[in-house]
Amino acid sequence: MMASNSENWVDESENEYGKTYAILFVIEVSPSMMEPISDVDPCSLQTALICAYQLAAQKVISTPNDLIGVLLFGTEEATGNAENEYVILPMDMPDSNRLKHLKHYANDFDSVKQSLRPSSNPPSLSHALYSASIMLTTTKNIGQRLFLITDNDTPAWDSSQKNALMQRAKDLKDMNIDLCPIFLDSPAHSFNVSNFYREFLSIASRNHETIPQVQRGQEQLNNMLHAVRALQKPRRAQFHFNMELSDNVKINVEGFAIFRRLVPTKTTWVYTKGEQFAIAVPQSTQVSFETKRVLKKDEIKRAYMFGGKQVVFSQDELSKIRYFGGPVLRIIGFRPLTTYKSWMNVKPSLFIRAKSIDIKGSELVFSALHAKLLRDNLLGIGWFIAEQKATPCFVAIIATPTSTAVLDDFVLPQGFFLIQLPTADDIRTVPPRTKAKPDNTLLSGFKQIVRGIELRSFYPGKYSNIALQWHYTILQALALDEPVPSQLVDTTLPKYAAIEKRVGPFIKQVNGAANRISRAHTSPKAETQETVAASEPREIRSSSSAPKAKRIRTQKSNFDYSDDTVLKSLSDSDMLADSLKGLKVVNLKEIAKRHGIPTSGKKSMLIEAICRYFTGY
Amino acid sequence: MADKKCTVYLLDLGNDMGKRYYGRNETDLEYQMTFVWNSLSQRLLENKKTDVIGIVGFKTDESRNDLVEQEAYWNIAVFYPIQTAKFAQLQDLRPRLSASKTMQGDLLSAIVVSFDLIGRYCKANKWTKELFIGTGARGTIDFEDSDGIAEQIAQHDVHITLGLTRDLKLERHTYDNQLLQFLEKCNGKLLTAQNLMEEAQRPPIRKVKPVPIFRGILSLGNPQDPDASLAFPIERYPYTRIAKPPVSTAFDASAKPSADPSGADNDEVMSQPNLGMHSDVVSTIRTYVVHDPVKDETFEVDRKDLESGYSYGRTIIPISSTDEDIMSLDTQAGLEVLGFAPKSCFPPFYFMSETNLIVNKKDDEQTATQLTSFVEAMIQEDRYALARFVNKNHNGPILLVLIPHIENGTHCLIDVQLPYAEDVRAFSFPSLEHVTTGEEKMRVQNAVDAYVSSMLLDNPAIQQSSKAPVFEPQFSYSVMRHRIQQAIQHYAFHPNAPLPEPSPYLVHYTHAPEAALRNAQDALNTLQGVLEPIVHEAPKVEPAEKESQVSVLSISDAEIEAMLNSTAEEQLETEKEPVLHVSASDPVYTFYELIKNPFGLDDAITEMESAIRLLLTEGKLDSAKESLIALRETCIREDESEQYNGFIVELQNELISGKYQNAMNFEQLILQQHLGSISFDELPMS
Repeated sequence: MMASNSENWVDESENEYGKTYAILFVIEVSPSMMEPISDVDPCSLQTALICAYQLAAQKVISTPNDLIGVLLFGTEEATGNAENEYVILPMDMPDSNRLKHLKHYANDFDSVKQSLRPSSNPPSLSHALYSASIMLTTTKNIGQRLFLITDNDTPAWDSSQKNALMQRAKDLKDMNIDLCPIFLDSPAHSFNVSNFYREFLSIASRNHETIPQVQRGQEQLNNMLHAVRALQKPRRAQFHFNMELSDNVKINVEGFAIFRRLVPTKTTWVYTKGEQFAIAVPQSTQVSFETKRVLKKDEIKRAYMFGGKQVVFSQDELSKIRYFGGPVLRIIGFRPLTTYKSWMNVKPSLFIRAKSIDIKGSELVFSALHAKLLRDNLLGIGWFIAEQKATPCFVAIIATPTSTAVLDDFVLPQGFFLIQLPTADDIRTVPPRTKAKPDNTLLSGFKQIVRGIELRSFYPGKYSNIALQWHYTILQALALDEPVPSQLVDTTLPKYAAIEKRVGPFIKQVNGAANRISRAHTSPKAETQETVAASEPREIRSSSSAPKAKRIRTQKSNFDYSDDTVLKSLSDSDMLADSLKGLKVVNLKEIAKRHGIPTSGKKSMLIEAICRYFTGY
Repeated sequence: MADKKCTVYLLDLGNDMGKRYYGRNETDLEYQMTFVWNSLSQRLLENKKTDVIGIVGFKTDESRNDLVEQEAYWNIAVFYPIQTAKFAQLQDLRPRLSASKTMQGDLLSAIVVSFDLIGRYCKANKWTKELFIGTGARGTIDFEDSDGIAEQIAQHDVHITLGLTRDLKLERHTYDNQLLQFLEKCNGKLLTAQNLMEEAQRPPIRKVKPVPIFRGILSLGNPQDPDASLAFPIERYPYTRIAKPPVSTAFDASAKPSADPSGADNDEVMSQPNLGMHSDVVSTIRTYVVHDPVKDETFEVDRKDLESGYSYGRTIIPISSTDEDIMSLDTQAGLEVLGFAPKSCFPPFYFMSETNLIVNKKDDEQTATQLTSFVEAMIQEDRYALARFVNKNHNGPILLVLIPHIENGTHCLIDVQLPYAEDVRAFSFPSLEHVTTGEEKMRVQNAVDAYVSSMLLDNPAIQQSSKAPVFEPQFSYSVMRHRIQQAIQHYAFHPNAPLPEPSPYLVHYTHAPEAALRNAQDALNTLQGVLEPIVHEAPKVEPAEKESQVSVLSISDAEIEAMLNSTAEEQLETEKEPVLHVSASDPVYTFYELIKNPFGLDDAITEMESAIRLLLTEGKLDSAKESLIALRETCIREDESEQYNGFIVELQNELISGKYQNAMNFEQLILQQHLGSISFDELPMS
């Protein structure tokens, strides 16, 4: 469509952020890695495998095109040509089989432990890194990340080994492999980076200022997951343009879409008639309506209707009309920060930072501008074209405060946010409403309430998108053939009990006052109508079947479908059909077979048949 | 509904209208028609069926109207009976809308004719009725029964706009007072000649009829428990929405021109072109293609053999295999307050969406006081509310911040979406260096401070020298939309003339005010001296002369990274860093560098072998070939043929066994290029 590039400045650059990665876990196997941390906490190796599995499960949702692999080294058994190296997962895109395979290793560790025995030879990190680089480089043009998980802080046992490792470090850097180590404490002592790795990482790793070290103990898994997530943060910009202070004074800046609405994946078309399910890709061809001939690109022009007349443009002409210059953020001037009003928003903001690419000193000027705007409570007004062909717009340029308070996972980055401002065309008119004066009794009550349920803070990341979580939980269960889980806890619901405890009396007071006011203001007839109107939505809510359904859903995966008495009691309380819906067809067939019910037909037919059976049981 | 609109243009075409008055460049008629054509163009662009127009002329040479039997209605012509505006017909009409040879034809009679047209078209239905009168109001006007006419017009709610091309300050006529009184009685509006021009140049804004996007309850506390919760019946309206540029349709340029290219008979609105009417219609054929990875071929499949489904990594889950409602949530529509927080917790860069306005339910006076008090409490406490919003049962909840707002004196709430944890993409940034010391850095800070202070838009001095008011969103326009509309309009009327520059109102905020830049000139000069272009081809770190600056500015992280990312060759040239290992990014060069060291030969060869294997794995065959040639030559020269032969045999075996999937046919290349084992006769004679 012609209008496509006028949409979000974020969508167009999706591929940039969504750059695919090959991620390889290289995990050391040694007696210390196999030693359980406590009676309840698994050993470091298992923790690392759980971590790899969780990352893979998350990847399949967020970035399904990423490749993932798991390589163990230091094992007695070997899977390939290399000695003492055990490939659990070769590099490939995740799918349900590979995930199940990895999950097996992570969760049923005891059953695989035997094949992962540590070798009697010392594990060779240099060999492992060599194999890893081979595994990683099977695919071109994607980012490569190597997560090294080990508790051995002295992998080089002699000088030749050390030299070999230092060369590997150089190779990894040359090959642009992003080495992300996660160091664990061994049972005997805590990990000492200075023994070997500081020097090694100064060659191999680009961001050696942060080396995650995970302490031994209960939180090991969480800390490890946290480290993996932190190491995955991309550093690459999505937009490059100049900030123009004037025609002659420009600095290089980069743009990052930090906020972007994430929605569940759309459904795709699936071809089910083949041997395997396959994705069918829709393709559209433009043909002449009259002759059905396929049209070449330059044969298609665009027509606008003007009072019944077609005004026709070629693609070239249109591009010219739509062109307002190349990417730029041109500063128009500065205004007090208070001139920005909360309604002046249309889309997520864009974060910018300076980066000298062809203009040296960009960072310095950028920092000075940031300091000045922050100090004087100003905002900039800019004329902004995000990239070639992007729709130009006006933006407010707002400096982020220097506060470095870390709120859980979210650290407010320092720089400027660009907020697209609406234009006169984008501002809608709203129908007038009758003006009302605030009532003093109500006002004082509401003020108590507003003060009473004050949230400690809000920061992005405080709330999880339960719709998204639920979508993927279900999808994962279906893909891995696991029972569909019970209803997700809705963390976005208000804390009713806390609200009642803190401001309950004020709510009663306000409601009482509101009733008095409306009684005083209305005739008896109007009042009855009013109460009906006000209570109606509530009645609908309380009588709706939704809460009931919620209860059923919680139960459905918990009941033991192999126990006929359970099924019977569900049938008696009229909840059998709903409960059965939560089962897989395989399980339904099991029940059916047990009672001689025909097992052919669709799921709904099976459920019906089973229900019929139990009603007459 | 009230959004149906009927407008009649009543145009004075008297002989006087063709003349230029008071030294103007345009005739009165041209003055008037600029306004009229602009107004008509908007309707042509919008192409709305519910927006109809009619055109009536008076003081015309011809007499053509339904009341023409009476002499009072002579010299009045209905040019365009009420209907949607069509370009072709209006274009045909254009030459006829010119000054006549007569001054005969009465304004009030013409108003009666127009009123009659409107009355018969709109009947008793609900229309917005407008009558634009363009006139110089010269000559005689018959005010007999004008009160009765005015009463009727007011009664039928016809909005009259009188566009007077004559300048009342410079030229007065006998009937002026009566005319203005008449206008007042009709509740009409007067546009002076100057107003007309201003209106004609006013950027067109398309008003969208407000329609609530949510009706329901704003609650606080458990909504199931009326005693423990507050509830306000509310309606939610869009407040900001990005206006889309006009929509175009595909058009087959290769088709023979259709019989009626102007589409004059095409009654369809633009979004529904009447398919089949023209031979130039482009239709889209959709096919579905499946890739078979085993045979590595694609084939087309039938739409009816497809089901919808989800992909989970590479696993495909057809949705029909399970209950579709399994995905849906047990949520109920509603807007529930989670709590309140100081507004500093909600900086605007967290906002994710277009904004909406929450007002009390229509015609619900009782709760208006409640909502007003609630909003007022938030204003006085300086708090925003965090809320959870579900627009429809079973839909996912979204997070909103509710911001107290007063619109036209009414208390209401603005809402805008906030990010969920999943919406935040974790980039990591080092902290900004805020400079307080260092002479050079202070110089930059001072220059930037001066620059910003000179560019304050609210500064009266800058304001006075600027043509436009201080930037506000309300004064800016959707550039793309207006530009495309301008182009459509322009090419419709002048298909062959080049497109003029964008209208001034579109571009006046796209550059800083000149006065501001003049003020900032000194500061800008300083900054220009500090910022230096980086020339990538030249060595990065200049010696000697620029040393002072380099040392003060220091090398930023970015520059370090730029150097790290530069190619090995460039880096080596600039820094003369000793080569310690064979690099996969430039194996041949690094290999030759390495063997310059007599003790490095063994390592160099081993490393080159690894590099070649790696290049083959990566499929970089050219580089692998070059490396192999270099290795072989070196081995011959240095008498290391055994080493090479051992390696090449091993490599050939690996190639044949298919170890390098990206290096197909490389083993043949080894043979063709004679890169196999080194034979005796190749060795240098000693």
